Amino acid sequence: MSKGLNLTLKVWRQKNTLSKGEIVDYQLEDISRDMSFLEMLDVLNNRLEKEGKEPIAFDHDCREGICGACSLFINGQPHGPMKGTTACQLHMRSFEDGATIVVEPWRAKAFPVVKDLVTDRSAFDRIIQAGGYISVRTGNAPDANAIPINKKDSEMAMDAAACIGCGACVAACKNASAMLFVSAKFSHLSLLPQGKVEEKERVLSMVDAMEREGFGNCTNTGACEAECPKEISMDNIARLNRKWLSANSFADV
Amino acid sequence: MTWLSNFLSTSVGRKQLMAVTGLGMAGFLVIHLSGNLLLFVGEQTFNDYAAFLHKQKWLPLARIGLIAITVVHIYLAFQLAMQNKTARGTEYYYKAASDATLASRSMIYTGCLIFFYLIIHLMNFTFETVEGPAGLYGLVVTKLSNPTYGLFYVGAMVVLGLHLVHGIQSAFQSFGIGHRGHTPHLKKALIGLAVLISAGFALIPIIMMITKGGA
Repeated sequence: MSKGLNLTLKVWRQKNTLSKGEIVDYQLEDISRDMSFLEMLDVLNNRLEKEGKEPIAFDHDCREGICGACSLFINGQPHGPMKGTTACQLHMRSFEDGATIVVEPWRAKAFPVVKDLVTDRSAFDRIIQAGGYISVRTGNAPDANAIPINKKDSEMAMDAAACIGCGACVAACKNASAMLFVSAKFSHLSLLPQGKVEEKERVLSMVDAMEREGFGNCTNTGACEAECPKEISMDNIARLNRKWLSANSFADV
Repeated sequence: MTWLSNFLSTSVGRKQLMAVTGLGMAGFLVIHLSGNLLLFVGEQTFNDYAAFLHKQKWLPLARIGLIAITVVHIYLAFQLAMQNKTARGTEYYYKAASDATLASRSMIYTGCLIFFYLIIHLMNFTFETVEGPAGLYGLVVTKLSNPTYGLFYVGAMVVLGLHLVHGIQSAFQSFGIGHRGHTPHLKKALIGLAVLISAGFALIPIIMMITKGGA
């Protein structure tokens, strides 16, 4: 049985949105390599509570990599060093013994820090409310396969729908742009016949909502795609650009 | 007319204006380069081409158009860069190596350098009085075979190349043209075009320094 990891953790601590935060150092000993990153933070928080100190606040929910709650900027990368992985699915075996790990919240004006590592990502919810839905009659579920859908389109729609809305794209982008998120949420509807109906209104209102939240402008650097835990493709951004151009420039005839 | 103002008020619209003005300038570079390559055909051909071009009635109009798209491109670049700076808010404590390419991260800086280069370039040739029997050809050879000028021009073309490598393919992405499924090689081809343009220009001072250096 090999001994666990000894780590130096540098964590962003901030009391509330208005207060000034700072990086605080913590020493951790004998951390199991089989722990997830969040479990390692749990261990630290248990210790802090025992010492009568305020535990570190961080977002988490399913811890299965599918909910999009976790949002840790670890050593300069959203969700840490593993590609295509959320922070909850990152394990401590990804780190060397004696390593220093810096943990920060997402940094974007549109995502204000609530406390420590927790940010307010309701800007994303407001973008979805602006057009990231389809209008249908509720009632009985329609027959399966009643609407034929091309296999390729359904695959692309599913790939876009994999977006968990965690905000890693915004955190990774040097411009804090939300284009990967908005384009994924636009695309997964737009690629399917049910979503085509309101496509024009959707693209214009979702882009408008994105502007209102104060995200930066996309300059096609590709950092979002590289860091996305769900590996959402920048092709979605191209689709959004193209659909916006045609929706904005051509009248209905 | 909201559709028109949307091009200025949304980030997607502004990016498309950046793209169309950028591609306009890149188109000019292609024409400029093909004219320049006549330098290697011969003194007479190049001087005849220059004289033919300066006779054209549309030339002042083309110049005004080129200045206009340059101004729009630069104005939008600064606006976008400043908005992008404020969108981050607090800077990260840990400065990591970026996943994005150097070219894509340095567009505003390479852009500024190209603008300063452009002023020097215009003073060197466009606003320089052409004297002597060899005409404009003589002026170009004298200037570019001088290593001080020659190496400066080669350096400027490296910066230009960096700007174009990101710029041209990024413009196509901004219009939504290019899809890995349908056109998988488009991006590579556009990067190749950018390299070709800047290498083509850089070749001129390089060849002149080698062949006419001592003359």
